[in-house]
Amino acid sequence: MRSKHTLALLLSVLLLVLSACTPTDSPPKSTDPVTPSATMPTDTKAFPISFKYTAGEVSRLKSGRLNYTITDARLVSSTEALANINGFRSDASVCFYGDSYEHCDLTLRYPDFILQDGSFYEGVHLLVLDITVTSEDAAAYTRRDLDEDGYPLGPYDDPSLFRADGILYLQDTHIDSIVRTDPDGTEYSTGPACWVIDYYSRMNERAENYMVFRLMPGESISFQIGFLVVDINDGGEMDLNTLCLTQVAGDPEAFITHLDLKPKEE
Amino acid sequence: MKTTKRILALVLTIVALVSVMAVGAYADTSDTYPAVSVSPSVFVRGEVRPKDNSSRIYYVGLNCVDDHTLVQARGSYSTSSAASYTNVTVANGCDVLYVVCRKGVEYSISSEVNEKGYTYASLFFRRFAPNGATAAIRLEYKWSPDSSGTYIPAT
Repeated sequence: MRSKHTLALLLSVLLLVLSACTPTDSPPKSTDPVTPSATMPTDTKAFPISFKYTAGEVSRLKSGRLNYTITDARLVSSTEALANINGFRSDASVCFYGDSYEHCDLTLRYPDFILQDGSFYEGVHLLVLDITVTSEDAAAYTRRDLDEDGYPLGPYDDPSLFRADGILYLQDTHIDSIVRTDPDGTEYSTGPACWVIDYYSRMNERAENYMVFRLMPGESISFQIGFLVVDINDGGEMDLNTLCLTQVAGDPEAFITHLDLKPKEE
Repeated sequence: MKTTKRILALVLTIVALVSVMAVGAYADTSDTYPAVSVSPSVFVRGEVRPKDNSSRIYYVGLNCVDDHTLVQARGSYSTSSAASYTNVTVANGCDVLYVVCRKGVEYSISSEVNEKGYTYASLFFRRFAPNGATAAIRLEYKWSPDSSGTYIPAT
């Protein structure tokens, strides 16, 4: 009899824990319209495309210049096309939408969007960019460089360390920012639809940070960076016809190029 | 008695396993380095990333002409620009409109992203422009939605 009571109690505890893990209900549908952006240029440049980061007032560079060249951009749908199959960010994910952009009908976190044979889940692509960087006496701000109040200007100790995820952003110009008002009257804007890289072929090469590369003055280095892409026709939010690369999200003066993309068979 | 003990061991094992799953199997604390154009009139969205547990958000502002920036932590159920983003910023145990962060300082920003069931976290920024500046400026920052370190609590 006592064992029956004990069993009932334990099962009740189990049910309580399981109910606490039940996902919350989805929010109501969003009715705000998405309107095309008119601020970013639309010209498509031919590869190779060169741009630079120069030391200045608002720059991570203390001195010198980093010269970047994009030699190619392509969509891939298999790890066979990648220089390093372990180059994905551990929180990289793709979202498939149904009848609302408020929530994802299906979310695939890395490595779940990679199938057993190395191909990507249907509709998932990686926009891969081949990048070469040359240092023209470039030196980054370090933690030893302090502002007038004594706060560090840089994140690391080595002035020859640079971030791969601070080079380029992917922007979709068909998605404009939406301004909403909170119940308390505060306005917020979703800003331009921009994404940080999901893939870096030299990830974890340096002990200082998983996303940095080291480049001494006069040296060059090459690597791949990538952005996960799901086209709007496959359930994603992005339109492959309106993607562009930019150095600063939503800044027309930082625009690099519009991308002419079509999925390529591997 | 033996049967009861076996059942107890089995149930406790299941409870432990489910608890681990509920906390978050991912809990990624790696940082990223986004850049955003910050306005003095509205809070503008930064990068959106999955938030896997109730740890505080790590943030440090780098490379900005302003010394201070107003920062909000918002939760959402997707990364879409068409989704709603709810302000869930917390400071000193209370819901707040924003926290003020000084560039170059590493902060822990409290929020209720995970507690209120949102799957994604993002930081929203507005210029702290006491001199009435009207132009948008560039802000580069380093952040992670989940963190394991201890930094200055943002207020």
